[in-house]
Amino acid sequence: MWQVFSENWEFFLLGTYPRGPIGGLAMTLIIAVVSLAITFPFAIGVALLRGSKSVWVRRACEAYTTLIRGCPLLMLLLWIYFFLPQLLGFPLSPFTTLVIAIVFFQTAYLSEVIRGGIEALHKGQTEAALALGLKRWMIIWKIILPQALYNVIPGILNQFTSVIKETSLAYVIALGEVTYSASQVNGILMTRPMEVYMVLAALYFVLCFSLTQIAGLLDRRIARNRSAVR
Amino acid sequence: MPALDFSAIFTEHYRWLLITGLAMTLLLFVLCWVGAMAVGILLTIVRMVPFRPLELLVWAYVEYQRNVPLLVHLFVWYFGIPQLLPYSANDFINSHNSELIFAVIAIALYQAAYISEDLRSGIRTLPKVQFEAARAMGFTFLGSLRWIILPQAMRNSLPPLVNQTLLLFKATSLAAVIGVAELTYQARLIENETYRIFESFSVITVAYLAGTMPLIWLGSRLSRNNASRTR
Amino acid sequence: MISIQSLNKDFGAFRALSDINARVEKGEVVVLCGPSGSGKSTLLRTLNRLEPITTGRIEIAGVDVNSRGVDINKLRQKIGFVFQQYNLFPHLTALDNIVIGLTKILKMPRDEATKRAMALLERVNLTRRASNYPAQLSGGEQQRVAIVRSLAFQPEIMLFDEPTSALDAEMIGEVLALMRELAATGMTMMCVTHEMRFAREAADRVWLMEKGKIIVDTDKAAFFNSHPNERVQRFLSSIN
Ligand SMILES: Nc1ncnc2c1ncn2[C@@H]1O[C@H](COP(=O)(O)OP(=O)(O)O)[C@@H](O)[C@H]1O
Ligand SMILES: [Mg+2]
Repeated sequence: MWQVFSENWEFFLLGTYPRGPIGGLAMTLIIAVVSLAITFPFAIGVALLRGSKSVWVRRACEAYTTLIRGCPLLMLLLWIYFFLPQLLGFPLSPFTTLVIAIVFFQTAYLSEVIRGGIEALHKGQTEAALALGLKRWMIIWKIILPQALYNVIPGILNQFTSVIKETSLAYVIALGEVTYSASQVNGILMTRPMEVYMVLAALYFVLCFSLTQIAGLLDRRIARNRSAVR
Repeated sequence: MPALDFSAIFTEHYRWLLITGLAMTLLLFVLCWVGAMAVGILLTIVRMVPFRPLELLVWAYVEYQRNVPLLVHLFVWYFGIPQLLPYSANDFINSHNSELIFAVIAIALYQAAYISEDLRSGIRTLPKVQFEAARAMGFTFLGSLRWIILPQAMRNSLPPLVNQTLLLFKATSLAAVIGVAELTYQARLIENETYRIFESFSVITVAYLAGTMPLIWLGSRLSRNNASRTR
Repeated sequence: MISIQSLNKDFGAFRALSDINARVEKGEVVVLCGPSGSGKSTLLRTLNRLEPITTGRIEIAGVDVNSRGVDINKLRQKIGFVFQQYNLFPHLTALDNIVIGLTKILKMPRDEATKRAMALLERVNLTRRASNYPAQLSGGEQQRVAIVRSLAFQPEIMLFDEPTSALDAEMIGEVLALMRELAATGMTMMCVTHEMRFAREAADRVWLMEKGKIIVDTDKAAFFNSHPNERVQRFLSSIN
């Protein structure tokens, strides 16, 4: 297993870069970061709109999250890969396709995480601010949201690990991130699939395990800070 | 975009593909669910044994499963494991739908890790004195587990277990990637032959939603119930 | 009925019970008191083997509790145990809390078990609460259900570990009344309690514990009427 990695580590980590396009684990991280960065504002939007005064806005957001929760990501990806270009009239790169799929998917999940953070805040916060005469959106923007986001940092990190795992679906649309790279290495070596895929699993494990450990650490620290404040 | 024409994918041939696909999805779901539950409960019980190395072993297993994508687990099993098996075993598996066998193993083991975590936290929230009270009445160790502890742990873990069931149902779609002829696989096949993208994907979308919506509804109902029942 | 000989109990290096020798006769009501941490709960819990002992011997109705051959589950059915926190099973109704032991441990048919359980609830005026869950009952009601849950096994001994100290003042009376009534029927009882009113009215003997030892074991009259031991005096004045 070590031999497979040491002989192909550049391909696992970077793809053909710098001679060709970047791939491997680097690409995995790029997809994950870009997807999460785009997801973030959408998720905040949906989370806030779920507290909207209008029943219809609330219902629409709820319908969206419920629908997405009911769909396998693979199916969503296939819809976007095959159908969206037809609808738009121009082709999409595999990269764009995967990012769109993850953004659609994760907006639903991340908005739930953020909404949880908002709902966990003390009601008194809003009332105290209202009593100070602050406008409603000001309260949300300046007081509620910063606290809520701070409290759900661990949740967001955990969601980031989910995104990293989800990028493995790039394999299905032949986008060259680490899972696809591994399958290429396997195709070249032919006879050592177990080693190749254990290397792949190990790479994901190191990355995701570190992230979840950091999330757990932050979670305990934030919980401690919060109980110290009260 | 061509005009919609569902009849193109509902010819006798494609109808048959869809029906077998649905049957395969359901079969996968049932086998994975039973396997995941069994392994999940087993892991939970093993974890309760006060023997540190065993605990560590289960912990490592759970972390490995949870921090590696399911697709990679599928590849390890489907492409990797046959490398380690003797010829005769491979022959046997290959002649018995190896895709299905490995998909079930990979998905079940993956979900089992999550299920055992949910069960564990369901048990952890139970006060220890419940067990003592049962023992003091004259219940045996196993009797206390069976009649007092497990029913309460199950009730605590029911909402997350329903959620795991939902995730497991969706996860079966990944089996298509290693060639299990379930719904997603068949939809791609039909789309590939007919170019009826919207039609074929619509059909499986409806099928998946028909399975997942009741689970989502049940899950939110249960967690609302549990929240409102004060202790 | 209960005989304790040279009992020692260690938690690691800490000696929680030290050289306990005592007897409880059939039909006797013993009130066990002493400062917190003196080992009262531990002593009570060794009697039905909820705590294993370090050395010594405990006999209940002539049976060595800690001997290998004893069927501890059978023995525990003969010893009712009432906890401070009631410990009803929250997933079962008041009725089912009583029924489950009868059907699952004694293998009694369900309708017979229900009949017995209803009769017990009737005895403590809780028939109308039969189908309520513990969370819907007051503390006093929960404790009365817990007591009759033990009585359902027709035990020969009842052990109470501070049964009223988690209760609001207005509910203490109803639980003590039930315990007094039980004492009057000739039940052998051991009660850890700070309710000296109960001790005065219902106890036969009083044990005073301190630092894992029984320092006073005397009959009720001697305990309350100017006992010469100054530690008894100190204890009595500390709780009144
Ligand atoms: N499981 C245990 N492990 C270690 N120490 C214990 C345990 N249970 C009780 N103790 C110690 O034994 C002593 C007696 O406790 P306990 O019997 O509960 O006292 P009481 O009921 O009289 O307040 C206390 O000092 C307590 O800290
Ligand atoms: Mg005590």
